Amino acid sequence: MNKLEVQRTVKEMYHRVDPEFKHKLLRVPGGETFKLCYQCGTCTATCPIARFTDVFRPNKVIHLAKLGIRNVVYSDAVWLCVNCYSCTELCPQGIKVADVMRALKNLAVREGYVPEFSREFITNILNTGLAYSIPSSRISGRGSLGLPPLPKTRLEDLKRLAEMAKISNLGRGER
Amino acid sequence: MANMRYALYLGCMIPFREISYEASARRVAKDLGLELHEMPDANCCGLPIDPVSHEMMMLLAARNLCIAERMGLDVMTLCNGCTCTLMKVNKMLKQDRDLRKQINSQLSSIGMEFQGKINVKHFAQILSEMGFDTLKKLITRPLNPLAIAGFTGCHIFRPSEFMEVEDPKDPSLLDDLIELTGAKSVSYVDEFQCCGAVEGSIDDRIPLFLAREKLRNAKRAGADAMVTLCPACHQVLEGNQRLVERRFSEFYDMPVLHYPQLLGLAMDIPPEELALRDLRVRPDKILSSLRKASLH
Repeated sequence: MNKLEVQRTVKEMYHRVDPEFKHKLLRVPGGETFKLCYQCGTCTATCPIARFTDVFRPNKVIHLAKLGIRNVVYSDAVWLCVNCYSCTELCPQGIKVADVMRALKNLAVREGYVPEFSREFITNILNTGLAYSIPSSRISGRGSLGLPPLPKTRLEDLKRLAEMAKISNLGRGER
Repeated sequence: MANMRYALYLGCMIPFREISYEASARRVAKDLGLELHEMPDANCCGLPIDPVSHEMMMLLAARNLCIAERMGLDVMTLCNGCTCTLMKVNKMLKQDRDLRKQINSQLSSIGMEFQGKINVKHFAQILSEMGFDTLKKLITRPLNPLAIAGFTGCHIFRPSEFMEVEDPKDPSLLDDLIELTGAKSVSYVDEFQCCGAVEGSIDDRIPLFLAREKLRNAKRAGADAMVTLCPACHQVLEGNQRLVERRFSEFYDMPVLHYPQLLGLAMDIPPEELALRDLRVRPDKILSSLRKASLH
């Protein structure tokens, strides 16, 4: 790597570091506790996902968030967290690790990173009231099993709520 | 006397892929004397939206709670995810006055108000509240020959801050419920670990690895079948089982029952009324061993 390249890399790194990031995260509901982390790694040791992927390490995510390396939030890594709360139960510092991961995802969404499956959920909820789009054969098949019809949600209510939570324009195909 | 009237909250996953859970739960509830009322205007519990917007999750959950409050009934859930979300938001809004004020000001635009009058319970928790002595009297055909590996799932006992379990490191609820039916409850490695269901949307490889571990560990521990309390866990362990077998060139053929199906068998409800035929991994082996046992 020549001198120019080194300079460029350092500059890029510098741009990726956001010293305000940790303050931002502290203000997102669920993010309040993350600064107590002392990197013992208990969360990663108990994480069922970390056993099968190299990409996701809860303690690393928290470390990078503290440093203000925001790329971590905008990568797929945090979305690998399944919110099983194993880490939250065991953290010796009482950090709500799963809630911190959720807060990071919420932050990513606010800045425009919404994964496709989440767009799908939003679209389905706003169109049917439920998160999955249930095939019509399964809806009509309920009768033959002696099951009552599915709920019919007042969709205008949900639209209203989505507008208030500022997510109504995050559905599938909308950018 | 335990409360016997509930508003039944189904959620999304059950009508989408696990109707056999709903059918068997309703059938068993009838014989238990539980009175279930439909929630005709209910929506998604909110859990799938939590990563996108915590606020929207609370609004969706609160709307469901308001509907139940209007009906004047406690909520009975079948899915662990719905249980956790509704129970958590119910408690948060009951305890945190500022949060309640904020959510209520938003709900007022759709003509609703959270008042904090009801509770949320999973079917399994309602059963344990009814008391094992009461339930024992209904067990007319004990499942003695069976060894069952229970898979509790996460959200019925985590986060323990909200979920009210005696010992979050070793919850005994499902163990007790299995022993109630007369079957032997088998413990195995990682039985309280996550199934990985939600993972499918971002990396569909990982749930297969997680399911494989549980199936292998349960099989090694000598289980004839597994039992779940949650449609998502069931989907991973049972719905994906053939995929797991193909991916790793292994053979499990491990029936995974919804808990009400197991309880129903022990209450001598005919298998066809428990939607056992809708299972993708056929439970024929355990049914025939039960038949053999009853001949002796």
